[in-house]
Amino acid sequence: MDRYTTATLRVNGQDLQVVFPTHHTLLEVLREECGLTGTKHGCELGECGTCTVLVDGEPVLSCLALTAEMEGRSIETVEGLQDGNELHPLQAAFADLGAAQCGYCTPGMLMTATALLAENDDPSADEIRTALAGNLCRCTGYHKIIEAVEWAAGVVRGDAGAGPAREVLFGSSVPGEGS
Amino acid sequence: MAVIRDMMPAFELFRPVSVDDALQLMARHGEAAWALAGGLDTFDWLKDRIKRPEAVIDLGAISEMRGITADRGGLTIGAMTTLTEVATSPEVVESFSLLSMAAFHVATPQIRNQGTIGGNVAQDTRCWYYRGGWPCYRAGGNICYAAAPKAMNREHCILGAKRCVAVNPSDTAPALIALDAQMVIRSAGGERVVAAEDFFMSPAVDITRMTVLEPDELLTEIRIPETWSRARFYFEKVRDRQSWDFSLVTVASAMRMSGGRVQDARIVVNGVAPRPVRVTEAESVLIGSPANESIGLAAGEAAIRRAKPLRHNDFKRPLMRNLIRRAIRGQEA
Amino acid sequence: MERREGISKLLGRELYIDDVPMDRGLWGATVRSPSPRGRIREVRFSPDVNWDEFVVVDHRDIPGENHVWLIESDQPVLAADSVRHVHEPVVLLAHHSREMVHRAVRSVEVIVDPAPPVLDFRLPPGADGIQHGTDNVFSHIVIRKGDVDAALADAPVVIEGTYETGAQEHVYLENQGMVAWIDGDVVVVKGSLQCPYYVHAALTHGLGRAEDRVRVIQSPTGGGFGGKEEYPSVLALHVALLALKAGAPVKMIYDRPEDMAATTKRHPAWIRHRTGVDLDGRLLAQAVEVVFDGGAYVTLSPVVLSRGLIHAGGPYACDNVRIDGRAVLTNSVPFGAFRGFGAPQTIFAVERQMDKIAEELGMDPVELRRMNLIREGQSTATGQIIRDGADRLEVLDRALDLSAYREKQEEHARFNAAHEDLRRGVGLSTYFHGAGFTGGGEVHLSSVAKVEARPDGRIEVLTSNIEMGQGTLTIFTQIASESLGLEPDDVVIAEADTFRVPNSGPTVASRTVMVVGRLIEKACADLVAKLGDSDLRGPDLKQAIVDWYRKHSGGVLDGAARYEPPPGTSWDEDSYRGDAYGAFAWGACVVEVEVDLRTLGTRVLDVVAVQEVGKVLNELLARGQIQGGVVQAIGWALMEECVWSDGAMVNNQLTNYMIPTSDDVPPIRVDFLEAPYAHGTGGAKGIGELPVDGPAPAVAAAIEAATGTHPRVIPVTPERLMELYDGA
Repeated sequence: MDRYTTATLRVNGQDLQVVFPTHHTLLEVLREECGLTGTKHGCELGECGTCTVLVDGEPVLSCLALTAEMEGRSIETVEGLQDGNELHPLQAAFADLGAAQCGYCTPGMLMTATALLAENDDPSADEIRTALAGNLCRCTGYHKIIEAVEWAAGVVRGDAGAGPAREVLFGSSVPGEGS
Repeated sequence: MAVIRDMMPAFELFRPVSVDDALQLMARHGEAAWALAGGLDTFDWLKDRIKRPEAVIDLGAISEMRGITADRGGLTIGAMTTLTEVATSPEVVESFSLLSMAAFHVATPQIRNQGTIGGNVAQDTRCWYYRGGWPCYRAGGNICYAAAPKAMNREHCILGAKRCVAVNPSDTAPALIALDAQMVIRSAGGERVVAAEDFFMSPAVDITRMTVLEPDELLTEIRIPETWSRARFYFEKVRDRQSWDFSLVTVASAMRMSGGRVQDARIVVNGVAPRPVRVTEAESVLIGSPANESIGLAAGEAAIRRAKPLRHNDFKRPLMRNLIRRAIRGQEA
Repeated sequence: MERREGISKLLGRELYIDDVPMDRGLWGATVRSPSPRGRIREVRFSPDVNWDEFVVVDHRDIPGENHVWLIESDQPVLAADSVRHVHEPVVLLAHHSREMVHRAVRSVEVIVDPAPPVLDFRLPPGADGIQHGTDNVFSHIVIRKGDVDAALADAPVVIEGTYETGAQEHVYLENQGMVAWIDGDVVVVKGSLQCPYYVHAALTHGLGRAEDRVRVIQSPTGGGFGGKEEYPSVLALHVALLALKAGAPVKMIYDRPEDMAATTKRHPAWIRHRTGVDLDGRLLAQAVEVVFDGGAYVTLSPVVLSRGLIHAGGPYACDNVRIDGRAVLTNSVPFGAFRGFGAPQTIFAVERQMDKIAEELGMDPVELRRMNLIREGQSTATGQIIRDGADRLEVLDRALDLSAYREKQEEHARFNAAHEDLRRGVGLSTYFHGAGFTGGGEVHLSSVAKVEARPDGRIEVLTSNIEMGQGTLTIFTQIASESLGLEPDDVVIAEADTFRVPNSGPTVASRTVMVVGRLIEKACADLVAKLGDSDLRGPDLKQAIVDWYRKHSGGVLDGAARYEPPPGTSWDEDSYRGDAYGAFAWGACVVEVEVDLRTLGTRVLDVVAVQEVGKVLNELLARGQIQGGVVQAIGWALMEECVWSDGAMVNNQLTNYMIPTSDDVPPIRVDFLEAPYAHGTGGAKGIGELPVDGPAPAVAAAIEAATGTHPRVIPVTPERLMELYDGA
C-alpha cells in the first residue's frame, strides 16, 4: 500500500499544498500534482539534466530528489522564470539566438543557467561550459546555448551594448574567447 | 525482459533530525533499512527495483552531520556535507586542495549539489552485471559474470581481485586515503574510528559490501589530520568524457619534499581494484629519491608489476603506470 | 526572422506527448523477448498479479496484418511463434497506474526455445543461421562505372584498406512516446514522430482499417535525427492495439533504458577499399565493398545501403568504379535511419582511404584531394554529371584558410617537439551529400503541399513535414511569407495532422526545405493565380483574400502543388545509373586535436566546417544544424560506443553510452558558400545531414597527424588508440 505525505511546497514563490505518494520524486510531484510539466522526464537516473530545477537557488536533479525533503525549501521551475509578460533575459537570449532547437533540454538548461547568473553575472565561456556540463543537448552542439548565456549575462549586468558581436552570434568566433 | 526502470516501488520514509535517532531507526529496522544520503546511488538502485528496502532513513535533516570545521590544523567534515561544499570550501581549498580537486571531479554540478561526501565514499560499484541484477558473487551468488571469457570488463579490476572484479568508483576516496583521513563510524552501541585506507572492504573478507560499515552503522564524519596540509598534491582522473563520467583510472597523491628529494609520499589509485589502494610499491621507490621522470617511471612500473588485466582492460596497466609517473613528475605545462 | 518554435519551449509550455494530461487513460508497457532467436514456447503470467485489472494484448489481437508496413513485410507487430532479436515485442499491457504496469512487465516471462543466433555481420552465416532468403542478405546493390578490374590491373599502385564504424544511438532528449484514443470510428494516434504518413500507412495495414478511419497527429517532437523515422510506426501500432482493446485512451512513453535498448541505431559498417592510382595520385580505379549490419528485420536497410553506396566513392572523379554493397541480417535489434543515412559510414572509409593513399605515395593529403575532387562536367560513381556551378576547390580552400591549416601544421611541429606527453595534429576531410530521396524516390512519393487562405487574409501552410528542433516552422513561415510578400505573422503553419494536411512526404533526407519548401512556393503561386492576378502580393493580396471570402461564403481559397522532377534528370533503378539526387551539397572539414600520450585520450581543439549548400535561407538555423551535426559526429568518432550482448545494447544508459557534454565541445567555426540550385527553394539544397559526414574522418586524420597511427575503426577510444600506439 502506498503511503502518502501532505506538504506545503514553495514553488515559484507560491505555497502549494500537495498530497503525494511518499516515495515520489520532486519531478513526479511537480508534473503530476502541481501540473508543472515544463520540467521534463529524460532519463530518470540523473544522467541527462532535463529535470533540473532550482532548490534554494541551486540546480538539482528533480528525478533524484524526494519531494518529502522539500518542505520549507524554495523550488523554482521554468514556469516561474518569466516576470509577468516580460521574458527573463535568458529566455529572450535563447529565443533570439535560436538556442532552443527541439526544446526538450531547454527548461533544464535555463534553470542551470539561471543559477549560474545569480552567482556570477560575468561568466567566461569556459565557466558557462562547466556550469552547463550536467545538461545534455543533442541538437545545438551547445554553441548557441553558451552564446545565449553570455548574451543574457550582459543584459543582467546592464551592459548597454550587451549581446554578442555578429560573428559570435553566428558561431564564427571562438567561444573560448568570449564576447 | 524488463528494461523499464523509471519508477520506484513504495517504501516507508523516516527523516530523523539527530544521529542518535537515525541510529535507533537503523537498529530497529536492521537489514530492511536503507540509509539515504544524497540519493544519487540510492535511487538508481530503487528505480531498478533490484534493491527494495522497506524503510528508507533519510539523513538529510540531520544538521550535525553537515559542515566543515577546522580542527587543530586539520578538518572535520560531516558526512552529509555536499560535494559542492567540499569542492569550494576555503579551508579545503587552502590546505587540502587534493580533496577539493577530487570533489570537483565528481559527475556534474547538479550531482555535486545533491551528492554528499559520505555518499560518495560509501557508494556501490558500477559493475553493470551487478547493477543489472545478475546473481553474481557480489549479489550473493556464486559466479562473476564480468570475469567470464566473453564478458565485457573494460571498466573492471586489474589488481587485487578476489572472485568479484568490480572496482570502487569513488573520486574522493583515493584523495581521503592519500590525506590519511579517519572515518568516524557510529552505531547505537558507540563509536569507532577507522583509517580511510581500512574503510573499504577487502574482497577477501566480504565480497558483498563496499565498506566496513555494518547494517546498523553510519559514517558520520571524516577527520583529516594536519599531516599532509599544503603538501605537494596531484590528482588526475581519466574518463571517457570531460564531465559526468566514472573514472577509468584515478590517481591521488600527496608528497613532502626535502632538499630536492621526496621525504614522504602517499600514492593512491582507484578504478583498478575492488577498493581504492595505496601503491606502496611505488611509494617505496620514491621515498628518498628526487621526484623526476625516471623515478616516476620506475615507481609506475613497480606499481603495475602485479597487475592481472582481464580481456578488455589491458589498457589500464599502462594508464595506471603513466598516471603514477605523472603524479610524481608533475603535469606538463 | 524570429524563430517560430521558440517561445512556448522557453516558457515550459510546449506540450510534448508525455506532458499531455491523461484523465481516465491507461498506461501501456511492452513485454519483450529475452532471447535473440528461437521459438516462443510459452508466455507465462505470474500468478502473483491480478491480471483482470490489466488490458493484455498479443499477436492474436491484431485485426490487420501482423507486420509493420515498410519496405518488406517481415517485421511482426508482435511476435507470434518465434523471435529474431532480444527486446522483440511479444505482449502489451495497460493499466490505469503507470507504476502497476511497469511493475507487471516483470511478471510476464517469455520462454523461448533457443536457436543459434547470427551476431557478427562481417562473417558469412552458417547453414543453421539462415533466416532471410538463401543467404541472409536483405539487399545487394552494385554500382558499376568503367572497367575496374582492368584499371586495377593496369594501375601503377594499388592500395588496400579496411575500415569499420560502430553503431550510434540517436539520444534524442525526448524518448519515444505515443497516445492513442478512439474517436467515433476513428483510431487517433498522437506522438513524437518524423513521418506522419508512414505511421498512417502502418496503422491502416496493421489494424486493417480504411485510410479515413485512422488519424495521425504529430506532437512537438524533442529531437529525431532519424530515430523517429520508422520506429514510431511500431509504437503507434502497439498503443493503438491497446487503446482498441481497452476502449480507452492509452499512453506509452518509453523510459531511457528501454528506448536505448529496444529502438533503432545507426548501421554498423565494414568497408574495404582497393584503389588504383597513378604515381601523381590521380584515382584510376575504386573498388569498394560495403557490408551493413541490418539487424533482425529489413526495416529501411535497403535504402540506407543505397545512399551509403552512392556516397562510397567520395566527392571525387574516377572513371572506373565498382561499389558492391550488402545489408545483411543479424539477430540484433534492427538498425535504422540515422542522420546521414549510410553516408557517414562510407565517407569515413573513403576519406581514411584517401589519407592512406597520400601516406603511401608520400603526398600531401590536401593536394591528393585537390587533384581528384569532382570538377564541373565530371561525374559521380553512378554517372551523374555534376554541373551545378559549385566550386568544390573553393570549399576546400576556404576550410584551409579559416582553420589556418598550414600554419597549424608548423605550429604543431614545434609544439610536439617541446612536449613529452602531448601531441597535436590537424586533419581534413572533403565530402558531399545528396539531398532528397535517392533516384526515383521523390517521383514515387509524389508529394503534395497545400496553402489555404483564411477569411482574415492570413495564409495557412499545410504539409506533413514536422518540426523536431531543426526549425521547420520558422523556415516554412519564411518561405510562404516571402513568396507572398506577407508578414511572418500572417502565416500559420498547420499541425501535422493527417486529417488536415496532405502527404508531402516524410521529414527526412534533408528534403524538407529543398523539396517541400519549393512545393510551398508553387502552392502559394497557385493560390494567388486563383485570384485572377498573379502579381498580387503583400497588403493587396491580403485585401484580395478578404474580398474573395466576402464573395464566396462557405468557400475555401487554397493552392496546391505536386512534386515534379527537375527537367533533364534520369535514373535507372536496375542498373543504378543516372542522377541519384537532384543536387549534392559539398563540404570540407578541418579538425585539430590534442592527444595525451600517457592516457591516449583525445581532445578536439578546433573544428572548421565549410559547406556549399546552394543558398542559405536562414543563417541562424543553418549554423545550428551544422554545429549540432558536427558535435554528433565527433561523439561518434571518439566516445559513442554501443556495447552488445546477444545483439542487444547493454550499455543502455547515458553514463555508459556517452554523448558529448558542453565540456567536450570545441569551438566550431562554420562558413557557407552559395551556388544557387535552380530547383530548390530560393536556390537552397539540403543541409540537415551534410554536417555529420565530414568530422569523423577528419578527427581520425588529426589523430594520425598527432600520433603517427592510422585509426581505421571508430570510435577511437583510448584503448583502441593504445593498441595502435605502442609508445604509451
